[in-house]
Amino acid sequence: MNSATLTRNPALQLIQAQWLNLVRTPDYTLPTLLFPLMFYGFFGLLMIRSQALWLLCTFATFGVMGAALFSFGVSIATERAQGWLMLLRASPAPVAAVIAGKAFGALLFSLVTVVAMSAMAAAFGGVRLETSQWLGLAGVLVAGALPFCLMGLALGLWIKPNAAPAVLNMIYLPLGFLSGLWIPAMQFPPLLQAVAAWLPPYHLAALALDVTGAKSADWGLSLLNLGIFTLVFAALTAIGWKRLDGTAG
Amino acid sequence: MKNLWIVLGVVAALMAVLLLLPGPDSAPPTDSAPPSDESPPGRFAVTNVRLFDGDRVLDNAVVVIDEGRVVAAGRTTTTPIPDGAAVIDGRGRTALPGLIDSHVHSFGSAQADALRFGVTTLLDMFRPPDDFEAQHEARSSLAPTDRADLFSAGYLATVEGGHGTQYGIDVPLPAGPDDARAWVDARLEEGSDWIKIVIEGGRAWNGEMPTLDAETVAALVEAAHARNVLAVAHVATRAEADLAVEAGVDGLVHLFIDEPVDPATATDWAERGLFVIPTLPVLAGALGQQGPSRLDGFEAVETRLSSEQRRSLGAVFPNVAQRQARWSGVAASIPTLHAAGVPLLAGSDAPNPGTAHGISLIDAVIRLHQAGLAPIDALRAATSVPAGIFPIDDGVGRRGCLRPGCRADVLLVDGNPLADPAALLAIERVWKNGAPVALAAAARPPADPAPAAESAASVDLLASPTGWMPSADDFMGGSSEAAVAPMDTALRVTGTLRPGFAFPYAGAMWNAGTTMMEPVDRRGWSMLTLDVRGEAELLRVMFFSGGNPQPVWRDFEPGAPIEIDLSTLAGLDLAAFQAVGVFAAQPDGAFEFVIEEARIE
Repeated sequence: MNSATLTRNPALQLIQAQWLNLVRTPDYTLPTLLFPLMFYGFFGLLMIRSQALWLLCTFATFGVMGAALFSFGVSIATERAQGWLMLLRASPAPVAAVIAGKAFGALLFSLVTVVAMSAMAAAFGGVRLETSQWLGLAGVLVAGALPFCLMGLALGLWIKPNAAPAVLNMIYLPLGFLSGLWIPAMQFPPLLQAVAAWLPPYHLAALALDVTGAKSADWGLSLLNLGIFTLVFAALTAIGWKRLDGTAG
Repeated sequence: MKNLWIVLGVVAALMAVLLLLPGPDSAPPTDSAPPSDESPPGRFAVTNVRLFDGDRVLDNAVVVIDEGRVVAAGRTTTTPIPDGAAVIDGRGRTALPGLIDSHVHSFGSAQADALRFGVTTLLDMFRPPDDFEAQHEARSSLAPTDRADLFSAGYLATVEGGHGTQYGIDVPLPAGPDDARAWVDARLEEGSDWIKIVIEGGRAWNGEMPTLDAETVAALVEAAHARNVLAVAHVATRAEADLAVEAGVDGLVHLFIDEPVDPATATDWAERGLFVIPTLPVLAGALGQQGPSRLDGFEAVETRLSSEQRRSLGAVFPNVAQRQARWSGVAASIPTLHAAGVPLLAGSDAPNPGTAHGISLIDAVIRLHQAGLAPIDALRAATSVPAGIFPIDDGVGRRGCLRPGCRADVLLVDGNPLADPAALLAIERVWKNGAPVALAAAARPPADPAPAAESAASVDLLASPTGWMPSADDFMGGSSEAAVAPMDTALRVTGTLRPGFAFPYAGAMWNAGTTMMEPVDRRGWSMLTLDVRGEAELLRVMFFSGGNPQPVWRDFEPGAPIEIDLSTLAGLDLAAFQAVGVFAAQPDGAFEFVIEEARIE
């Protein structure tokens, strides 16, 4: 592969554009990365020291979810407002590559979050895992970011651009809390426990807890929940995308 | 396109960090590591569980176990789960302290049989003290074990020919009131944990037998109290109970059966601080009531019964039909005693006919509830109540409780025994000293009958005289000895019978399986023919089966061929036949006999 072919490949160009976008907007990038790490530091390492492994799994899920939601939701909403999406659709650039570029950015963010948080847990929380478990945790969460990318995409296509950050926070923070990502769901009152068991982040965290051996999970159930969630937002994305044609705004 | 390379470099760097993150400090132990091998051995938490801590109930609780003890138990919201603890989801289940059976007689596989049914502590009310040192060591340890812990009265106090002397165990007898102190001290020296006194004139069973007089009972109680140990009494009638209470005993190990307890008596007992172990399972059996097989959940656990448990459950007391009417009075006494405040303790008296270790203690709890106790009181009777009365806190970890510091004897059952104690039969897991207990009974001999050709034909036990081995109590610490010498078609047995062991024996034994005492299915066998010549006055043929250390035996005189119909031997388990032996029974001293014929068909 040489740079000549790369320059001609529009998908790679757009992916690269995303990377540049991230690197050149540190005022967006750094807070998104640091926010979950800071939370984990406060809750997992300073306050509830004995639960470092458990909280690593749940706060990493929280971080991954945030990276996916915000990198998609906010940017898509903004680009929609700027008419950039309309321009892209009119241009010969493959639209799929735009999405792929954003997805790549979100996955990269997820990986950075998980690795940084794992390093914190190992260095300050005394968490010790087999290499396969460290890799498994990162793998599960990076792959698990994809459904939330779709969620961010769908929301970005539907909500008003000005309201995007606020609305996303209104979804992100309660969803994280109710899914037991801050406080383990089993310490909830029974009613909230019942709610948690239906939420996708709860199931992603369950898979993370399983690969690290903190608590065994029902993989079939959790994957089913995440799958249905993915399908719902894929449908919302498809409808939202069509909607761009006429009533974009 | 250097940006692409930067991206790839960043990803590679992140992967490298992941690969360099630290692993578990020490290499995993070489012994069989559990699947979740990052948790320290023995550290686990049961979450989302209904917790009965021996006294109270919490509906959504966590129990944390570490190194053989409970380290935390409480509400889910306030009980953190320590790092690296394996988590067991207890949703829909109830965690209880390991149960305490306050009246058993432990022989053979009793301690393992009880443990498989969640009974982790046995209070034995009569057995020889031969192995007390080992028992004391085992019960004060937190090491994983497949046996329930045992506390015992050791030998009981009775009289020549009285109750307790009929089992072939050589019981030392107190000579009278003046001997009481010496007798009690001898028991404590042997390692008895309390003193049991038999007051049984046989009248409750329409018979008569000699029993201790009131002065000796009182002297024994006084001697026990002088040594700061409990004195408990076996009684069967109201009059015997009155005698015991008057003598100052601390508790009754049976409820009497000749009349119900009246409220005035119950109040008197409560004021005296008397406790009662009603032993409803054995009384139910003796009064013609059905055993655990009547319970709904019985079939599900039936496969977990050992052959000894099956044997004792299947046995019946003689003449039970004529006593059936008395059961209602026994059951009616339970609410009267409870209302007056007399502590009731669950006890089975296994392995008496109709009862079995483990499952009959569960039945005792169920029967206490059926007689009128609230489920939680019935459960306390098998946990915190006996733990508060009997000296079973060895300082290592309290029993009958699930609170921090308690021994990690834990029972996890499906459902809610606090609504219906019958849920105790739905045992899912048992931990002893924090280690999981295998719930399946030891591998049973193959269920298929032996090939018909073999079982129908007659087996000449002398066909290979080398199949016989000498057998004497020197093996068990006694001083008798035996030797065998094969002759052409016979076997010469010589030896010396000496007193010293509780149960002196010396003779020769033939193993049915290929290895010593191996159980084999011999359900086709029906008749043993023996012809033994010799000098002994009395010989004894003993059959070992079903893993039961107590043989079934028949005495006979040498000199003429005898036939023994195997179907008449109660307690012989032909499906797990182990061995048959011919032994000198009388007199003590040197003996010699020749087995000329030994055939089974």
